[in-house]
Amino acid sequence: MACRPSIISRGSDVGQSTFNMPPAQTESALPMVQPLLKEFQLLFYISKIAGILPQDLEKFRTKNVLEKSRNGMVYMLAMLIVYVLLYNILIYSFGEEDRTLKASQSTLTFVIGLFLTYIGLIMMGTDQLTALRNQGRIGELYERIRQVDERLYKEKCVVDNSHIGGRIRFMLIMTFLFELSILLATYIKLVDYTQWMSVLWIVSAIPTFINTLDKIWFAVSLYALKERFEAINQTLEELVATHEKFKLWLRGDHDTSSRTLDSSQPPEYDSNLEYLYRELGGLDMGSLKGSGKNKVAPVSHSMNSFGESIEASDKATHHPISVNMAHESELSNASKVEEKLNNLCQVHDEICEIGKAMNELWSYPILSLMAYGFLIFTAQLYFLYCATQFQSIPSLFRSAKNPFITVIALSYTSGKCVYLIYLSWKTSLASKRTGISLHKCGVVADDNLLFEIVNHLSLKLLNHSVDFSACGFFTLDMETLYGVSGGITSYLIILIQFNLAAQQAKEAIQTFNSLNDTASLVGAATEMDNGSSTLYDLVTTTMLTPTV
Amino acid sequence: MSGRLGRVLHFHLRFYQVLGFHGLPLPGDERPHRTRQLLRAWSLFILMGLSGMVAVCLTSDLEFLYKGDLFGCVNDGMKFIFSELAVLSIYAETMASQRPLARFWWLHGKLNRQQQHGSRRLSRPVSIRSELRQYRRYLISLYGILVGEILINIWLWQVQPADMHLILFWSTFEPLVFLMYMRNVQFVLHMELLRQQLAQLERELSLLAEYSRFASLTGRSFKDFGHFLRRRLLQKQCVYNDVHEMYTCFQRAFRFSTLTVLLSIYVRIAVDCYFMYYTIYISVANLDYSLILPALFEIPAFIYASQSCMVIVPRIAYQLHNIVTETGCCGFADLSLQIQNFSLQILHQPLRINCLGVTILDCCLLTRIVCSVGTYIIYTIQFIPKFSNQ
Repeated sequence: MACRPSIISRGSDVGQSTFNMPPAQTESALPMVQPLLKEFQLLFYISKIAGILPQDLEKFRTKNVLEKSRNGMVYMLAMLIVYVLLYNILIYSFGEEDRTLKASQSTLTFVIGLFLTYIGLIMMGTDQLTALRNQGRIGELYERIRQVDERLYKEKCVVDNSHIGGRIRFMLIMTFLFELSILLATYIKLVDYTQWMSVLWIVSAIPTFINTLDKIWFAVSLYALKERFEAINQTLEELVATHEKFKLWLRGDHDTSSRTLDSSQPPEYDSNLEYLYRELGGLDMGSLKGSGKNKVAPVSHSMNSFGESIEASDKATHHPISVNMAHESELSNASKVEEKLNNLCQVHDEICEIGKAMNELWSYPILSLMAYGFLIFTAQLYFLYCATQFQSIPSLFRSAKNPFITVIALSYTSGKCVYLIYLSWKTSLASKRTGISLHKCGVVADDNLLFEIVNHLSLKLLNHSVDFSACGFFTLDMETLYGVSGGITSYLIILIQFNLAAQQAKEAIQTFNSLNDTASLVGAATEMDNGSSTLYDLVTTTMLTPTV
Repeated sequence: MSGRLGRVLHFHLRFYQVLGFHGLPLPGDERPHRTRQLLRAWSLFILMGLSGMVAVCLTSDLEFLYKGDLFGCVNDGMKFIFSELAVLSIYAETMASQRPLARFWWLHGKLNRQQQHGSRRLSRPVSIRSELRQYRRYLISLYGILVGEILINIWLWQVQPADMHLILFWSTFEPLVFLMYMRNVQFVLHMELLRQQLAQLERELSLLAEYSRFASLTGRSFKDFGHFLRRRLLQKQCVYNDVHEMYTCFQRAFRFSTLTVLLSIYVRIAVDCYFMYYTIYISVANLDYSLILPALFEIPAFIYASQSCMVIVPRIAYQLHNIVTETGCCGFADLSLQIQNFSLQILHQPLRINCLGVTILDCCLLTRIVCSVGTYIIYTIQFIPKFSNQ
């Protein structure tokens, strides 16, 4: 039925297939298979204004496609240069304080501050330059997703894009909230806003803001992929469920006596739980339970009763062919379902490929984000420690002076990183679940032809899983979090130890100097040798055994 | 009227209900809906109470936390904060993720019923002795550490004069420790049930393998033997699928609390080790640190349970491939196809108990925990002389 249109749309040109479809197909397909980018409109306009994407605005507005644009490129480069200039002015004007404070700062703090001054800028630059490099390929990616949607639609598997727009809006609101609260709180509490130069502080929020917008593109696209995997799994599960119902119905004609016996049993733990299922909404427990029972009950567990099991199984295999009237199940027809399973697996492969391509496009930005997250998290906590010890910290990281702002900033940064990791992990898991659902199909249908198909496809799925990584340096799954959190703790403790040691050395030198001053005064009055040697002893004990 | 749960399980689940850990009504409860709501309210109540207590501990001027230096105070506070996190996740999970838990118990009941259907031997009421034997691993880890904890507390009470500090400790941190421990044992219970199902599956597969070997050696089989084996394997595939779903439900039901409970036990051990060294360093006659002895066994108990669960799956695959397909009867291409299918299914459905994907809970984790506790102790010990002269 869906065969002819599929050939047409596959043969049709990229980007125009929606318009070239035959009228019958267009009517049903147009409202269903809407391009994913339609939901990205708000995000696209904001990104365009901020200079994250070079793609053509007009084409996007009219056709929902991302296409290269020379003007966009120029605008974006100009924005990048403006940001870099502004940021440098910011660093210069706020760096004045640092230069005066350099003496009182510990060297370690100073060096860390210097090292991390430009990391935000580097991250932003990576994002924008990668976007420039990828400007042609991103459009292709969404076009491929749209084709996947069409193919899924032909398998009666509809993907709902409607809540993606809401998701984008929520993420944007969260971004604005976090950025504004950090910016305003720092500006009001920690920046001297009597000077007009202090307005430049706004620039300090630009790198993180641009980075977040770019990551929203990635996150939402990844989420869309995850939904497609889940749609495939859902379709397979539905196949299983209908077949189980079908089998139940088949057996219902013959085994009514045993079923009434089952229902007359006293209520048990699972009957209580069944009530819960109804309560909590969701799975159709009645059918599952019945099928579970009927599926297995005829085959006895005992090793001795062979004959009985064979009889029962014969019955199960023959009926789907003989009785096929009111209820239907696709799984009972192996040759028909073969095509469907094959198609679904091909779509799965295609989604995996899209995932890999997407990962590749965003690999450098993700790597820089993760590096940024790790360094900034450690540095912010370290500066927070320094601030509690009343040491001066680099002026760009002044938000660390207030624990409350630090908490917001840290949760913003870590939220970004963790969400990306979590989503990648979830997507990878969803892609792996397809194999499980496929095997369920095979087991439920219990047909040798189908087993062969399932085995073949299952191997294919095993060999074709999608795992996300940051440039191949580390995989984006939850185990990375374990390593990163361990790393942050270790580095923090080491840094604090160095800081403590440096502080103590500084205090010891100060004591030494002041003692030296007094010693020279005292020494002028009394005998030189005696006094200075005791002082020398005192100072050495101060330095070496810190028990004074 | 304990349904099919058995008295031991019934008693312990009731116990977890009292602690607010098990939000589902038990079999035989008159009004399940009302019970569920009551349990939910009870969990919320306990959560509020404990959170209030932790808030008081963290802000009060009394010496709940160590006040000697800032570092020690932060360390002590961390213990409370992580315990609070654990408590929060435990009760939030009890209230929120009831569906996976219900599904877990439903599947457990279903598999048990199938087994009883199969072997008539078990259909008569099970004696309490055999039940105790069945759950011995869980019972040992529950009562072993419980008794240990109580004995050490009594000993401490005898040896050390009951000062204000000890009373504060008993009234605030000890309940948290107890809850954490009980939750840990609740995980152990669920994993033990999982392990029993897997072990049963492995036993049945090994019987099948043995029988097929016997048939191929002696040539004594019957008509449709291959077909029979194939039916059996198919049925085992369904069982494995159910067990795997039980595992997924377990993971989903205890997703966050596994992580936070292990983390809080870990933090407690690390912090208490620091204080142990500290008290020895400043030579204070204080034996508080002996309280970590039972805690030292909690993580291993958990990891042992999960490891013994995970090692069975390769055994199942091994037994599966032990089934001999050339027994000289008909339909063996089908049998080997079925074996392949099952084998692939096992590859697709591995059993990896991990807390939120962060780390797999096997013995490697134990090594890593020991290493990291050691490293952090060395780091923190270096602080002590620096703090004492400030």
